[in-house]
Amino acid sequence: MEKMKKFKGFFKSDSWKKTLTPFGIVSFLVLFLYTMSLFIPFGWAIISSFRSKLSFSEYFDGAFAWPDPWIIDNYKDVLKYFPITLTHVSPQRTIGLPEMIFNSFAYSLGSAFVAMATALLVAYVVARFDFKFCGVIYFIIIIQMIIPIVGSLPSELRMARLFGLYDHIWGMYIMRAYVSGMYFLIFYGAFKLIPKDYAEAAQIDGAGNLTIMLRIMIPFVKGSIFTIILLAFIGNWNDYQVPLMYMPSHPTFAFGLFVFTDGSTHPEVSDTPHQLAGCITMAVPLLVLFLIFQKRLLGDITVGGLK
Amino acid sequence: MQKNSVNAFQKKRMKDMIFCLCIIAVPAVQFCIFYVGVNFNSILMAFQKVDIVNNRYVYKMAGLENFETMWFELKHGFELPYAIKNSFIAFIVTVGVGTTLALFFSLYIFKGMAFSKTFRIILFAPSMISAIVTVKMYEGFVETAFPAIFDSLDGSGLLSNLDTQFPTLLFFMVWVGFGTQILMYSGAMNSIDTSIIEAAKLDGANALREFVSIILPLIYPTITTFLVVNLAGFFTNQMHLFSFYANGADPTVSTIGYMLFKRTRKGGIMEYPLLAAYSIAFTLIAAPVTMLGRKFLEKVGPKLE
Repeated sequence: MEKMKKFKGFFKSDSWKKTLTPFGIVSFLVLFLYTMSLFIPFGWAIISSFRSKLSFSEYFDGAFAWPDPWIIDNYKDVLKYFPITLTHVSPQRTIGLPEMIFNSFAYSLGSAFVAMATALLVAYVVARFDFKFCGVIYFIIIIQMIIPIVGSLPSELRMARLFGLYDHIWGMYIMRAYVSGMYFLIFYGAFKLIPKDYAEAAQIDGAGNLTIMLRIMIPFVKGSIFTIILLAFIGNWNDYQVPLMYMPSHPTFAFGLFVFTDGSTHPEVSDTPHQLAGCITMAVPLLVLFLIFQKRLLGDITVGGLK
Repeated sequence: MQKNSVNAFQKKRMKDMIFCLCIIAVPAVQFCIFYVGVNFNSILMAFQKVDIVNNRYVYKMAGLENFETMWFELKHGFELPYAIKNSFIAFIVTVGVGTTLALFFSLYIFKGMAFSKTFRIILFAPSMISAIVTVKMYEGFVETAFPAIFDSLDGSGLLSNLDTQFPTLLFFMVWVGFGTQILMYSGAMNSIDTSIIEAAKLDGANALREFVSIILPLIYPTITTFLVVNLAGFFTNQMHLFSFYANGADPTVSTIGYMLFKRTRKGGIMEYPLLAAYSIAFTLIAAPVTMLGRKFLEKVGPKLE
């Protein structure tokens, strides 16, 4: 009886009252189906990653079966076959998983910080000062954002080689020091919202431009700074194409997974359970990171128009 | 006295200007090299060819040779016509299905309906995982689990069957692509002054009217930003093909973004000039189309009532 009351009370909550409309019910069902469409393959992948290659085969248990026994060795094999041998360097070198993880951190964190800092500083100048060139910078950034330059990769690679940035993690920091339109718009909007009084009061007290920027204005946007670093870090961590093209001698974790799942390097681990074990190894730490910081990551970031 | 204050003002302006110039110096140099320089170099390369002299790559002027090759590939090539058609379909599906669903879901979250916070986390989760991971899980599922569930597939996976391959890839693109849009749209909706919505409710506006006449016009700048970014991405959308197939995707499912990336990686330096010619041609189409698209979106946008 008590349970029944609780159950009825649950559906009388404010959020359910809002949901029990035609729009709410249809949306809820669509979202529920979407959630299931994500959970089912993910759950299937986790379970399958503990199955043996033989049991997974269509001649035995097929794609749907409970692991019997649970094969932990698939994960041990991931660690064993994950290393990459660089054949284009002399002498040949093998990069193990610890070095790949180090490269991932160095590339992801450094590039994220540089991208954030560049957008932050330029947005601060453009939002706070009224020099003519500030308007020009704003115009260039917006134009750069909306006029697509297609296929500049070959030219960028040539320039990277020309300036000695190719195949260096620090080279990526320099190449990433450009103003991302999206980050710029987020910071620009945030700085524009801060009343000028704070900076003026500090100026009267004798604070210089650098002090005002570092000690007064930037702390106002520290929430956005953290969110952008986190978003950029995760984006870089997951990205395998940039490391593949620009720093082939410094493979990252994602780069390693791309090679691992390609299957041609190590045919022993090209079967589905092994491939899925490799994917789970990469996905789980990020999902944990996401669940820890989900409030921060999903906080209200607003991007306005392109006027 | 007045002269002194004018001097002090000028001195302060000068100090401010020096400060600003110091701050923007590094990004400005970076922009000059990696935007202006890269694009200038792209134009130059489009009229060059690469020869190997003494084991070194040497760039030589080649006139319009690359553009002639490009024209030949467009007329007689196999992949390029498919790539153009598929890029167009991918764009229509992204905007038509992806953006519509993202708005629909964002409204659900904004309204605080049942489990809205949980759905927000779930919708964003695929953006947190590397594309290579989601691709391999999806590939494994549609290639091995689907044939086991549906007998009508005769044991063949959705990606192995040429009839179902492209729709399966399109579905994947939309399926994992909600994250950022949901974040931005629900963020924009949350910044709407609740008193406007309350006032509309008091005036008897129903949910649909509230969405069409208030919410949509107020978040329209954010929607425009995303539509323009999507339009700009028409020629760069790879549809995750490289993650699925590396260099080996069937030409019938190729997109322009995938084709350019694959050829840069596969063809190496020898192919750079031809790809630079493609870059110039596509940019010459993409730039005015995006600008016109933006103007059009600004003109036809919903008006706040």
